[in-house]
Amino acid sequence: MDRTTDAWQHEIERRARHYDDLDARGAWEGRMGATDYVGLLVLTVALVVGFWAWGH
Amino acid sequence: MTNTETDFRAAAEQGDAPLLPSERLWGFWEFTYANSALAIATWAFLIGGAIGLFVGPKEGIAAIVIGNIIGVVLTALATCAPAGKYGVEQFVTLRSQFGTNGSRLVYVLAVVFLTMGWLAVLAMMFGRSIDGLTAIVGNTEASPLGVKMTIAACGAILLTWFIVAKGPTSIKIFNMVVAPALALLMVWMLYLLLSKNSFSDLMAMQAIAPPFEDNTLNFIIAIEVNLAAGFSWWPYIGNLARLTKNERTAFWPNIIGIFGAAALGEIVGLLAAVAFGQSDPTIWMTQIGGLTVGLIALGFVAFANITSMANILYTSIVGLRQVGTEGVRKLRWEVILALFCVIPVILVLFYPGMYDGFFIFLVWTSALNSALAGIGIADYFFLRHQNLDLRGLHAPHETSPYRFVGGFNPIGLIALAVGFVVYILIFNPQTLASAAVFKYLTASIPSCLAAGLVHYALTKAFARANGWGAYPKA
Repeated sequence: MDRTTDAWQHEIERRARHYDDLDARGAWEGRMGATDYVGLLVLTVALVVGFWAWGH
Repeated sequence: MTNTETDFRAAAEQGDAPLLPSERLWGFWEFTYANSALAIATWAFLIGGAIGLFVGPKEGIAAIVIGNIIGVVLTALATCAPAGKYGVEQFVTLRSQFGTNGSRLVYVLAVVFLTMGWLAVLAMMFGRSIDGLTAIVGNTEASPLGVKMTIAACGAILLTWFIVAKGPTSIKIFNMVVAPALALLMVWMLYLLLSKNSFSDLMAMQAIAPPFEDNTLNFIIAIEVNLAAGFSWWPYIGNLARLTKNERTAFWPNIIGIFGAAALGEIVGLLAAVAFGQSDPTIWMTQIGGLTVGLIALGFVAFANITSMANILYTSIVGLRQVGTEGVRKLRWEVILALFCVIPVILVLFYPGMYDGFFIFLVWTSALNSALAGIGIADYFFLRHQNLDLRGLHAPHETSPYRFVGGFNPIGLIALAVGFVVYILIFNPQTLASAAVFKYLTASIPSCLAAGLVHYALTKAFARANGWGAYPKA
């Protein structure tokens, strides 16, 4: 598909506007939040420390 | 839907435009299955076997968990978080970090070389499986570097070319059969191992060929190999994650699928390698359960290798067409596939020893992949605050805010070079020589940190003043 045509640029604009709209309304579904990042950190540290202590 | 809408949708699926949330296919469990299918591959046996060279099973399992969880988490943050939020193709996102042309250079360095190397290694594994099978049937000695292996390995590459040339449907059919069957094979092998040895006996076994007297150093090398395995998903998982419905769904399944499945396969490979004193899966599989089990396992592993090869070849060529020039995009699908297979065939013919030292090749790739993960995290999370300019990413080069200097972001490329140099100053994958700091920090983690910090600091200092890269003002 030719990515330089007006039709293609309009399509990109349409898709970008969709995400702008989600942003403006704060309507992102399933965004990673503080709980996710803290949970991830705890899981990683627990696995690293736990297996280090068990294996070495 | 009109023809034009269908065309746009198809183009978006191929990566030319961001996918809208409503167009994305996978929920949590679909993505977990998809990336488990990618991770449950024959290379897990190879990596597990290589770990058995350095450390015994107990330390090996610890190294597998520690290395993979860190590598997979950092890689998924750098690639899956933006892909899950915006549905953007991974190498299109990369334009914001390296420029429109810089992303092409990174693609060649990180994806093309990695995939060509893996194609050669897996083809040789196929060849050795066939050689082992014929040796069992004919009651003769296997010859892992012989002509039979070479012919079978070249045949494997030819067969892979044929399957991928037929398109993604044929690959999907292979995946649906192979992924669950490989999982069953792993569990079966684990059962066979545990039925012949108690768990405590297995855990007390020694490494096959530890290179150093210092056990901590051997343990850290084992962790480093697993960090490399975790970071080696960098080229592949972002483009799978863009098919998921949202950011959270794009991220968490990697912990079950990529981390969990790969760790299981590696642990089976490690235990079998140490129990039989042989790191090569095509040899220990002939010993694990007698003639019949050996025949089934080797035959299946040969078949599964073709699936793994087809998966990575397909993903790489789709990406290559995305980042390639118009000349590359105009090449026929079969032709570009065939050209891509030339180097793996040359490696099979002239460098068959690569198979036995494949972990050296794997660890070299981490010098790049760890730095790429660091740059990705610094750029997306700390410099752009998780916001991407979709119009800019998909604009033609002439009007793109990611032109930087001639299409290359010198800051991103300097950061990548710094990460690479930090890595090889700390740890030389070829000789296993290491600096004192390696025992405390590994090499991948400092490389990831150094690349991320350099990218962040230089971008703050110079990019905004030069009007590069449309970074936010705050």
